[in-house]
Amino acid sequence: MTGPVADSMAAGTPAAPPRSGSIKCVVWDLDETVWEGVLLEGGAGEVRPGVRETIEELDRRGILHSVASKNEPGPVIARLEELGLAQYFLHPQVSWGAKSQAVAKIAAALNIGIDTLAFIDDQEFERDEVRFVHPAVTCLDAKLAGSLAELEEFIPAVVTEESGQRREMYLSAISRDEAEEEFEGPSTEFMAGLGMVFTISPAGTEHLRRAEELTVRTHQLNSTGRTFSLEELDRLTRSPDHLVLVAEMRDRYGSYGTIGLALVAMSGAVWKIELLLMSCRVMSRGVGTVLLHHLQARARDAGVTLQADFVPTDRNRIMYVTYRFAGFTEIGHSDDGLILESASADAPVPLEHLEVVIRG
Amino acid sequence: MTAPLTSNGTSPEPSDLASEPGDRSRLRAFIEPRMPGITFSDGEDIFSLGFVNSLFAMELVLFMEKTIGTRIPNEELAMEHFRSIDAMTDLSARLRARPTVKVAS
Repeated sequence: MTGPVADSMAAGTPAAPPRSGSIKCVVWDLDETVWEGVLLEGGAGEVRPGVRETIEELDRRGILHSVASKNEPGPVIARLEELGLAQYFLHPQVSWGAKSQAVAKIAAALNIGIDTLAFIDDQEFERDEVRFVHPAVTCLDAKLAGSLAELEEFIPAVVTEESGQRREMYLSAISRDEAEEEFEGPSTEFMAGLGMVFTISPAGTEHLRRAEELTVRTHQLNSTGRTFSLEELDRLTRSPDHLVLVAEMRDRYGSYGTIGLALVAMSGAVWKIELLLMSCRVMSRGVGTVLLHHLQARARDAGVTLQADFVPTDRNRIMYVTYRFAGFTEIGHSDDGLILESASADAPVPLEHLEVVIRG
Repeated sequence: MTAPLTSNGTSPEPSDLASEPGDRSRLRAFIEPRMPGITFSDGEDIFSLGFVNSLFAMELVLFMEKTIGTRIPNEELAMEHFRSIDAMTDLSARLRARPTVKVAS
């Protein structure tokens, strides 16, 4: 019998120690793991004890689910629908190919790192095969299926209201991508037809957890990489010297959730953007500059100079380009980076495919 | 309508710069598929056409760096150098003309 958690001893590969909350998606085997028995031998029984509850609980925490099963696709989907579980599994992989390939396809389709996947299967052979090809994947014995929710890797540091909607957001992203692939005209026309609405509002208490999460998870469109605790964010939203804005976006396929954050220190005639970030989720939608343009317009209306801290990292050059193309120039250095200032006098060209709503 | 246009609607190649003859056409070939259904001259401000976005800007910067084989220094990363095919061709020529460290590829 294999060991308790990541049964890595069997393969002789040392497993990395579990990192709390590291798992973003669980890839499930089906026969003898999700359900009792073997489907194609006519024996697919009921859901194994605790599995349904585990799937629901992890879903609530924002952890996604998928499937890697050696089976015929048609009967598998039908059985999952009968059991009322089909809607939980994104990009299910049902084929006779190697499970390591299925796992790689799922990570690519969800655009998440393979080290954030867990793979659960009753067969030691399958776990070893996946672990051999992808040592970073957490491989688990099906015996643990009912108790995943208790393992440290499956307990995220932050669970927000949006965590529970993460699956819905991925599902709308899938419908959106399929529609885009079928659309034959220019992509700008497709974008115009999405009916995108970008909403900017002052950060309220309900936004703080997600704001904190964004400061930790966003690296590319992030001007300083500074992270803020819940308490700090809460204090800043109440401070008369700070402006904390969040941006949300939705289109006709559904919500993208809260995807942007701006933190501005206001002192007299100078406003300074201490942090500006935008989730990678919306990068291809051409909205990376919208929040910045809003701040420029706001500063212009207030008759103040708008500056920004920029701390270069190996991944945020796109944010530097965004600032420069919005008319910011370098005016000096700070302790850890650069100080930019908006020289732009005229209002930027609005994006045609986007409706911007300003609240508060 | 400021600069004289040639019969195919493009401005003549500036001859006083160390421009690589292919820069202009390569830039056009890169940009046109990203602005489908839009015709624009080499002197036209492509950012006034409503295509300003971070991703497009970054793609332009990376494409130019790949073509000329050097990293574009921060002081040159201003929008006016990327506004039109003319401006980008001038920037390429200027960067080719100066001694720079090659980007490892």
